[in-house]
Amino acid sequence: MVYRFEYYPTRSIDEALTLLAEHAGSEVVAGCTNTIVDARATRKIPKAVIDINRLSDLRYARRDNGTIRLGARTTLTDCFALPFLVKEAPVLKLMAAEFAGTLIRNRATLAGNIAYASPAADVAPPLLALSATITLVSKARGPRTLPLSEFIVGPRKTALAEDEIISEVAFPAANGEVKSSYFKFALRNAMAISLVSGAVVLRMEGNKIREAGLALGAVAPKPYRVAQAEGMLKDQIPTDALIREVAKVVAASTSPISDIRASAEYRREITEVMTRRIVERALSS
Amino acid sequence: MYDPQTIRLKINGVEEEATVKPYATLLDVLRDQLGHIEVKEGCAVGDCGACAVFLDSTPVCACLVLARQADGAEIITAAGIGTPENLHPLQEAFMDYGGIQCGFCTPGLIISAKALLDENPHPTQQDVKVALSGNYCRCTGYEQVIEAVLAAAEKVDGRHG
Repeated sequence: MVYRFEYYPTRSIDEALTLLAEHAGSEVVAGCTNTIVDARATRKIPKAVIDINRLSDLRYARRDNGTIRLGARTTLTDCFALPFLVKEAPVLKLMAAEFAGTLIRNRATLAGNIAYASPAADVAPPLLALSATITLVSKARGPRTLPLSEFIVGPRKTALAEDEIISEVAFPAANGEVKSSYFKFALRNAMAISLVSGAVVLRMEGNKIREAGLALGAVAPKPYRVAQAEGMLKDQIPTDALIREVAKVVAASTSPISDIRASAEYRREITEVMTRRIVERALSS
Repeated sequence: MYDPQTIRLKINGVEEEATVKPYATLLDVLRDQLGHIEVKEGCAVGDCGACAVFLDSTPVCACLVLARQADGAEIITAAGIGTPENLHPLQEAFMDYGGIQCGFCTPGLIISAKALLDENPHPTQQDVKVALSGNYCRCTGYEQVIEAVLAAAEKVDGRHG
């Protein structure tokens, strides 16, 4: 065995927070789908893991007035297994269906994928497009909530402090007609790392787009919202010309890398084509 | 540091105990400590699905579960869904249709296929492909595996229908 760490099971958030405050260099785990992989590769070996996998107080998905609240233990499988969530955020179901494979989806959590903060985190674009917030809690300072766009700081970097646990992911409920779509472009259909991924969430008022959320993954140091494109769609009755213009702006906003999987030029080209398609697909849904 | 602790597992209906290190995976314990060698170690990082087992009825990669996380859980391996005398239709179909060559990926494929049929007794070919997309097979080219699962689905359905 090339790695070692201590293991602490927990029965309450309070217990988890206390353990986290007492053990510097420990990591909070639920599904372990990144932690064990990184430890085995000796990329990152925590001193201890604090297991929240049995915390019933982090296992919920509910509508609270105008807000959808998902406990930190919400899994990728929940995104299509919970009828309530499928109805409220079909864009999460579209994403989850292309995330890894069933065996991983059954364990991996939305919060864990966000906390890992890969530039290609597939969970991020749909949640960003939904204007999601994330709630962090620490023993010393209590809870705080911030927009997901501020939580993800850079590649593998987040605003999470050493003594904090993600407790919740939330986003505004539909409140009227919402049209959405998602794409993941990779070299194969399953178990793949995205070359580009993107999500669009259009809050409608008749034919008019009242509010637009549009976010990309894998084409910049971190997943991000394309504010300029969102502004172009807001309060508009979309036309083919507008959608083409938006797709161009979205492609121009990227700063992709060239690597073993694809060139930067290719990623940018795919971004433009796929953005156009998901906006069209969302509007015709 | 790293003191071992005893965990209890119900594996294929039998209560077992193991004394495990805090960082040991469920795969390490099932295979190396308890001798359930039908649970295969392929990549050991969640890519290949060879170590798939049911953990409290949910199919997972045993390599990505810490053994202590599974304390008290019920585990079903590929050896637990049929016996040599009374094979599960999936196990029979994998033999009949040649869904096996070297056999290394087979236990994991059986688990994922069983999970599919439990949830969807009438899968299409596409459903089968999607359900098995987290399991790698380097021999068969998948064609015979997919045929086997579709054939088993008809049999399972007939048995209950």
